[in-house]
This record gives sequence, structure tokens and C-alpha cells, in this order.
Amino acid sequence: MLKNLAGTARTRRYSRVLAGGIATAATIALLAGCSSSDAAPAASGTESALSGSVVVADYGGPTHDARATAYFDGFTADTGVTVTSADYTDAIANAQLDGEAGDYDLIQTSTDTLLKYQDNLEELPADVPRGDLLPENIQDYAAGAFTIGITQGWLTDTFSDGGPKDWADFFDTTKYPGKRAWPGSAGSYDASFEIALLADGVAPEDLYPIDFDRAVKKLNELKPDMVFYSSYPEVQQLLSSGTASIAVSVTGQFTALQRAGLDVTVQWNEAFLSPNFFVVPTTSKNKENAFALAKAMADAENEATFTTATHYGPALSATFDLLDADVVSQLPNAPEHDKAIQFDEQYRADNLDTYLDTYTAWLAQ
Amino acid sequence: MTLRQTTEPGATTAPGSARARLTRFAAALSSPSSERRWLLWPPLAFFAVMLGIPMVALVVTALSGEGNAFAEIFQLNVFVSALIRTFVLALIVTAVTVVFGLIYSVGLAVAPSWLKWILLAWLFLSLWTSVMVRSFGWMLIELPLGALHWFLSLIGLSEVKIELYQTTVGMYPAMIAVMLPFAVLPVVAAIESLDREQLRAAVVYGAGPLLAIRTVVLPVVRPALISGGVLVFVMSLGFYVTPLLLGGPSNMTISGLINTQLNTANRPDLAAAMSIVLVAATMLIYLVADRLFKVSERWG
Repeated sequence: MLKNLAGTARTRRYSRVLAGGIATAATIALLAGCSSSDAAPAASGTESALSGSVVVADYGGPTHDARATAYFDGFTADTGVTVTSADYTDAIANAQLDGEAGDYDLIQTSTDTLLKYQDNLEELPADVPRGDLLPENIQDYAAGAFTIGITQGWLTDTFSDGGPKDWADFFDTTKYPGKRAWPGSAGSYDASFEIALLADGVAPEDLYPIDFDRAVKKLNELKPDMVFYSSYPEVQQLLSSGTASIAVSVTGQFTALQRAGLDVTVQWNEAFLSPNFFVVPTTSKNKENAFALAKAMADAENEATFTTATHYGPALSATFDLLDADVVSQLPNAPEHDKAIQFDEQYRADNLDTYLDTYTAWLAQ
Repeated sequence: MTLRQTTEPGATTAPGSARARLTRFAAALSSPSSERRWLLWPPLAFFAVMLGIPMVALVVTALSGEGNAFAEIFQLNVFVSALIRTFVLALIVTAVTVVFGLIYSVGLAVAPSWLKWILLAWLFLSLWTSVMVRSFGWMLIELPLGALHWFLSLIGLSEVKIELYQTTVGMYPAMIAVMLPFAVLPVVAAIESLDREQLRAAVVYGAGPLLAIRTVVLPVVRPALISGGVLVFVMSLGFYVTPLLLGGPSNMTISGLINTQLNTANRPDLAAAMSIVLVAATMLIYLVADRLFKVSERWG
């Protein structure tokens, strides 16, 4: 779902070279690990049975760095298994979701994709704690989950009256003038149709099945006032440069702006919540390592570290007890954000092609 | 014997000496005999590996889907309009770039040598800078509160509203700038080979600037203009980043659509079929252009 169009062939080649280098490093680390475990009996008996590496495909950036600090570093220290980070490449991930061979052991994805490709995914073993805040039908497959929000945000001083309250306000360009930053790559249809229908007066509980014609008609009204981004980090630029007055985006970009010292208001009313996580494809070559990493990521203390760094919502209810109050209020799935909306993920999974084709056609028209 | 020859370079050529080998090499190049066929192998092998195999792979991928990928893509309105849009875009870019290229080249030819070097360095610098970087630079210029706005404010025009970013008009300057070196360099080479005496003769015999350009300059640079134009046109068909960033999604080119089919929609068969149609259409246009302008003769 998170598309990075700047992921050029060159960076992919670098990551492959890097992966090769890491594999070599892994062998060396392994040799070193063997000799050191002879000397130090610190490593626990069950986990030292693991060796080699595990290949994790995610979208890089600050989220990846937070993940490495919160989960990967400790996991490697405990087990000796090297975590190889791969820049998510569609061709490899798509093939593995389809059940074909590939190099990834854990693939970042969202709920609709999980439901669509469930037959080609491994169920997590019983000893991996389940994310109890996730929808029940994905708990057995989702590792290292975090809930992102998709909603509107703006630089606080843009509007003196507190800014738009809901999606109807967002579509009202006389009341709230300025361009709207909007996802502009075909795969990032995100909540576009749902948002348009809410703005057109459809109640949240009546969103599904989506009336695509009505949604497109509503989107067309706003299109002249939209400015499009092709990768999420552009949102920061569009807002801070004053090109757009409001942005619809994944909430991580608003967090990044806040981290950079800007005063950003995020509207949690009618925000959409979307769990993201890793799945283990049946064609994974290091399943045991992948499951062990899934277990390390299902640790409340580790998840609290990740959550504090990213402000993405945790999947374990136990994590909330470990967080500071000011962090909790920023999380998409904070208890006070009770006006947020869940997607009908099964509907979205069944109609993935309609979403994509309709959005591609609408963007290009 | 051999020793004598190496110590006496001026001695008569004998078989086996370096000069004899060179002479035979030159003869092999100029004779139509079978001796020089091996010279064809490197380029043929290159084409087989770099073009032949990928094309076969494309055809196989296009036929690997469940249905008829070619029939399916022509039923997609998005594809047909993107195909037309891409060719119109390439045509506009080519026309403007060739005109600008001619002006730039003539400027280069008449400039004093210090300015000539600056103009050439400018051209090469832009050629060597990544398209991504340059498109991003243009974006910073075109944003409503970007560099252009800053410049206009400096000269007291801060009220002018700049509506360039993500418009059809806004994407052309960047694409023309990207393509300019490919139109200028062949023409510069042609102008350098222009016989200045002819130009002087034309002026001496009373030809005005327009007549001199039409009768002396144009015949010399026309082949270069055409080959530069064909190069720019074919390369413009592959534009992807620039229209996406500066033209907005409603200016989606065929490359952008192929990317969507391959990566997002997970339909490699449609992406392959679209690629084949693009290559076929390009070849068709080239053949027509060749009939009209004799492009291949200019290059031959």
C-alpha cells in the first residue's frame, strides 16, 4: 500500500549488493557466534538452535529504523540470526503472495492483501502471542503489526477556527481555502472512495458496498483543488511549502512534520484505521527464523519502544500500559479517538481490482 | 631476418609484420569479402542478448495470462488514452526541442570562444544530471510559493498567482530541457562542418540573412535536425518521472501505466502487452518517418 516511486533500479541493485554483503557478514557472525557461545553460556538453550538469517521486506525510512532498534537488534543479539532488510520490491512480493518462490521471509502488507492471499501465507505457530487489538480474522497471520491512520492534517496556523471537523468540511473550499494534497499513484487509493462518500453525506455504517459512481462524481468536484503526491514523504513538502493547505495522508507523515518542529493538527474524527503488519509466505526459506522474529515483535516492551518512536498504534493491549500519556494521545487507535472508522477489509479484499481500476481511471482522466 | 626487420623499421613490408597486418585489416574492412564477417558478431551478439531475449521474454509474459492480454488492453480506456497522450506529448516535445535546439546551436556557432565553452558546459552538465534531480528542481521552481514566486516578488509582482505545478503546461519546460542536449549536439557538429566560405560567398552576392540561412545553412543542418528529432521523439515516448511529478496524474504516460500494471495491479501480462504495443507503434512511426525523411540514410 505504501508506494515509493523513487525506488529505482539502482537502489534495488545496491540493496542486493548490500544483501550479499550481509550474507557474508552473517556467515562471519555465525562463526563468531559459535565460538563465543562456547565461552559464554548466556544464550538460552532453545533459541541458540536457530542460525542463518531472515529476510524482511519493508518500505525503509524512519519506520524501518525504529523497527531495527526496537526489534531486530535485540533479536539478533539473542538468537544469532541476522535480519536482512530488503527494500520492498513489488515483483518479488507479488510472486510470493501468489505462492511462487522468492527470497522474502516476512513481507509488509495490509489487511485486504492478507485476506486476498491468505491461502499462500503461513499461520503463525501457537507460541507466538497474537495481536489482541487486531481484527480477529487476521490475528493468526499478522506479525509485528502496527495500526496507521489515514486522515486529514494541516499546519495549525493555517485556519483560525480550528480547521475542518469532518470530510464535508474538507470538501468545502470556500470555508477552508487552499489546495488539498491527495494520493496520486494508482496503488494508493487508500480511503479515497470512502472519504468522498462520507463527504457526500453517506453514514459511516452505510459505506459498504461502495457506490463507486457516486464516489467518483464527488471526487471530480474536488479534483481541480487537489495537488497530487506520488510518494508519502512528499506530503511533508507540500504542506510545509504552503502548496497545499490540507493533506490526506497516512498519519506517519504528520508525525514526521511534528518531529521537525512544526505545529500540525491531525483530525481524528472520521479518520480511517488500517493495521499494517508482516506475513510469512508459504515459500519462505527461513520459516523458523521468521516465526522467532514474529515472537520477538510480539513483546509488549519491544512494541512500546517502536510505538514511542513512530506513533503508530500497537497491536498488543499490554503495550498501552507501558506508554506515556502524551504518546497515547497521538496514537491512531488511542481510546479517545473513538470517532475513527474501520474499513470493511473483507469487502476491500474482494473488490481490490475494482478499487485499483476505478482509481487508476479517475486519476488519469 | 626478423631481427633485421625490427631494428630497421623502414625496411620493406614482409608478411607477419605489424604494418602488413594493418594493411590487411584495412583491406578486410573495405572489401566485401567474407573475411570481415566476424566484425558483425559483436554487435549481433549484443542485440541478441540486450534486445532479442528481453523481447522474447515480453512476448512470453504477454501470452502467459489467462485471457488475451492484447484484446484486454485495447478495451481499457485508460490505456488507449494514455497511448495517444504519450504520442502527442512526444510530438510536442520534439517540435519545440528541435526549434530551440537549432537556435541554441546557431548561438553556439557564432558565440565568442569563452561563451561557447560556457554554453557547451551548461549543456553537458544538464546531460549528466539525473532526470529525477532535474524534475525535482523544476518542481521547486513551479510550486505556488516556489522559486518563480520568489523571483516575481523580488521584482514587485508578488500578487501574480502561479498555477504551473501539476498542469499540462508546467511539465513541458522540464521535458524540453531534458531533451535539449540530444537535439543540440548533432546540429552543433553539422554547423561546425559548415563551409564558412560558402556563407561569405552568399552574402557577397547579395543574399540577405534569411536567404543565406535557407540556401547555405539549412541544407547542411537538416540531416542533423532530423536525426536529432527522431532521437528526441523516441526517447520522449519513455517519459515517466517528469510528467508524473510536474504534470500530475491526469498526464499519466504509457510508461506510468505499464508500471501500475506490473507493480500495483500485479498483471505482468498486461504490462508486457502494453510494452509490445508501444515498441510496435514506435517502430511503425519510425518506418513512416524513414519513408518521408530518409532518416536511416542520414545516419548511414
